[in-house]
Amino acid sequence: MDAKLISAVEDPRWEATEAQLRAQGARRFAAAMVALAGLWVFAAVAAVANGPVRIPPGHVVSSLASRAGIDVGTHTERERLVIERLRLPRVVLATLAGASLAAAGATMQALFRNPLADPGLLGVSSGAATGAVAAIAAGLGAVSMWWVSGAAFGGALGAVALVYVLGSPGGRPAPSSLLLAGIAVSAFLGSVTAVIIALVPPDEALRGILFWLAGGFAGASWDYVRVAVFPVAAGLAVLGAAGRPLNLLAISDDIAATSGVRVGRTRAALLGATTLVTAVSVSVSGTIGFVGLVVPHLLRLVIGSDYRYLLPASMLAGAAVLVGADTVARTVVRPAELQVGMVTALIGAPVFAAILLRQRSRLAIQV
Amino acid sequence: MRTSQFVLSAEGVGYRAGGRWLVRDVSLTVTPGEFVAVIGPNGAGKSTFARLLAGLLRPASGRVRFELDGQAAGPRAARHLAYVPQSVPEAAGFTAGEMVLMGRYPHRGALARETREDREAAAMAMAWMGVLELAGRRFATLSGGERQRVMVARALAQADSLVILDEPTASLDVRHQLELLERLRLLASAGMAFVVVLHDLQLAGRWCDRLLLLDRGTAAASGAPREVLDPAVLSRVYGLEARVSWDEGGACRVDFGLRERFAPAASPGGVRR
Repeated sequence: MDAKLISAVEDPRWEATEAQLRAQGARRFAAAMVALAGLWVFAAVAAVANGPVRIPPGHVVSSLASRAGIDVGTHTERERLVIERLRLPRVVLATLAGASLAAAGATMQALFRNPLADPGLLGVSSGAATGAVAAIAAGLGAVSMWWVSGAAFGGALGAVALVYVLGSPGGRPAPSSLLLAGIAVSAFLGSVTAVIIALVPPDEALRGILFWLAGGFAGASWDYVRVAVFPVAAGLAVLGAAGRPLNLLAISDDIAATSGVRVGRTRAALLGATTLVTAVSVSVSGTIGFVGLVVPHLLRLVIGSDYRYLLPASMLAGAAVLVGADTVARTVVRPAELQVGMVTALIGAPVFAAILLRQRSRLAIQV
Repeated sequence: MRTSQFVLSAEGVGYRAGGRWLVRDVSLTVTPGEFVAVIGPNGAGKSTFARLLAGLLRPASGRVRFELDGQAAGPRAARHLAYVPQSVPEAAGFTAGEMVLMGRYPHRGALARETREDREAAAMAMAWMGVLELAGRRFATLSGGERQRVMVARALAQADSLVILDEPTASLDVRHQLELLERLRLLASAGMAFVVVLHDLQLAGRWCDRLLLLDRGTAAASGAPREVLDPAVLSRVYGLEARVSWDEGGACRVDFGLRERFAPAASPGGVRR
């Protein structure tokens, strides 16, 4: 707009607003990313140090550095093996799953304009559960855990495909229809899972099923990491670059479309990416609740709703939270182990309730 | 403010949904400097037509074209043409300032940050709509009228040529209605163009230089306010007795009255369902 029009408004304060717009978001984001990275490093070191064998943090750093050929401090060979064979893959897997679940949750909340949306909205979790439970009940869990993970992945993708077909009246997916189809398919698969559990004799298989359903990283290994890392990295890269279309889609499809976003394609691509990262995570770790729902909401309170900031921050925060929760799960009732899904639910549910109460004053989220 | 010439044209545009024509064979051409109102009773197809113009719906017949300097606008259309929806869901947790700044997305590469130029454009658009003091407020906490003005500011930050507004005055009080139309009028005189869906015939007659009167999806009349706001035409379309008067300042007054209540079938264009 030209100067004549501005003077017609006679409001010189717009320059101050320009400065205000510059200050919004970006600075808080940078600070939040530094803090979250620190939190993740802290959680990772704590995770590697703690367990049945307690390893001093200095030895952890020394062991990891020696891998890179840097010689700082001391550690024993046994400590190095515990770290590298047992604890590190577990930390990496929890990092991948936490980043995936939190990013997928934030994306779903934007795409469905629904603050209660979580990564399992389109049936990923229930499909994975049905697949895994069926595989365990069939005795495949005793053969190899790969069968269980593979069945979980297949179940997850199958469930989402079904939801997508049911939620596309007239061949075009519609958010409200997808939401309803997701609820219907999840409910149906939940009862299928329940039926399988009822039919399984109460023995090892049942314990395996319950263990899987609670979600955890007890079976973590570098093999799992190798399978999970590429699809997760690809999916997260897509989501991390999608902040702008997500911002527009979080407002309205019409605004997005008239801002140059190809709404149908973009939504399909983003749903595909969330499905991929969620399905991979669930397949290697079982169903872990509340991370995808709560982490983005917590971050919104701190850095605001701009998805260009929220998505990278969610990945980092989700990773830190899940690594921390897994460490708590492993160590709090030693020598037994809790499942990480129990810990996230025990902590996540009250935190979510607290956010809901806070919402009355802040209106950070709206139902 | 604008550097390019533009034309938005709808030629014999139709749109079908649920087995019936919501809009049928409507034509409209909008060029720089014009301020066009789309008027008509409920269900006449005003919003559908606005969405067709904005490219949000694909016409079942005819075509909509947006040309810049004589060529189809293509993927850069969003820099020149914006749309203000009737209502915006409040779910988004953005501040009003963030919402307006998003209007600048079409002007930058996919991963680029906003520049000073973008922030200035956003701030000026907010100044223009009188919503500067709302910049740091959460959009969800704003009143309906404040939201509507922020959304208009967003569109002005986005497009430098043409803005299509669906019922922009719906939740505004009288003062803000007049201010909005006056400012759009001023921007139009500076070379922009606006297509505004309006319920209020008096506002349309007072502020717009061309009216398109829709009736059950078709164009009942189109042209200058004094031609379109004709008592006979309005009577036919609205099924009510109409009286129209104009004062020297160009202000328009439309009065409607119910016809003979007990003889609806007697008049051919009588009260419709």
